Amino acid sequence: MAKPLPGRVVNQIRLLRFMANEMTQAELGERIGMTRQTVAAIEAGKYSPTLEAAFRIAQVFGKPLDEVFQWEG
Amino acid sequence: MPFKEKIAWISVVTTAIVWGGYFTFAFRTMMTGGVPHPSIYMAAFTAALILQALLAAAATIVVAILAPKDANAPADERDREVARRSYAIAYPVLISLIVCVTVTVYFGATPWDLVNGMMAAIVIADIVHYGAQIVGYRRGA
Repeated sequence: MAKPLPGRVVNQIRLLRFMANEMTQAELGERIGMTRQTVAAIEAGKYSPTLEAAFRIAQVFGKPLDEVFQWEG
Repeated sequence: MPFKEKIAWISVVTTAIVWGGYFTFAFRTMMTGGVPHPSIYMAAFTAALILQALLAAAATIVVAILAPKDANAPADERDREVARRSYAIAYPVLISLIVCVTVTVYFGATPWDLVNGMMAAIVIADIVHYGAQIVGYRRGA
């Protein structure tokens, strides 16, 4: 099997929370059905959410998915 | 720290302390070549089970009181992923250790050795299971 191309998922969640009247991680977590710690892990790039969760996050901020998550190769 | 990671820490620490004590007793008995009376073995085994349950329950209650919101939160996708991975790591460990313990029958292991060996396999697999959860949460998932 070929080795996958290097890269990682980055996100703009911190910026988007700031723009959404400093929405807390706990508030975002409540709205997408996740714990505050999981939101923190996603925000820090330590955990990549499922596609469904990623869409939910984008929906909360009213942004398309690619404005919230990007692939950094 | 996620509530479930705290529970994993509690489980690792209480398991290591209680069953570490139990196996120290069992190992010393084995080294002296003695086989304790079944009632002594049962008493030590039951005491270890009860002590661990009490310690884990008490620690969990304290942690839940300190962070009630986290304690009541349902498991999310990361919790489920961490749990799935930790079972996937611990299960082969348990099976391998049980096979190893079973093989000792052909090398003259006594029923007392087998019982302790099986119990040690379960305890080690449990520690691996919770340890994998901790590592999973530390790494992110």
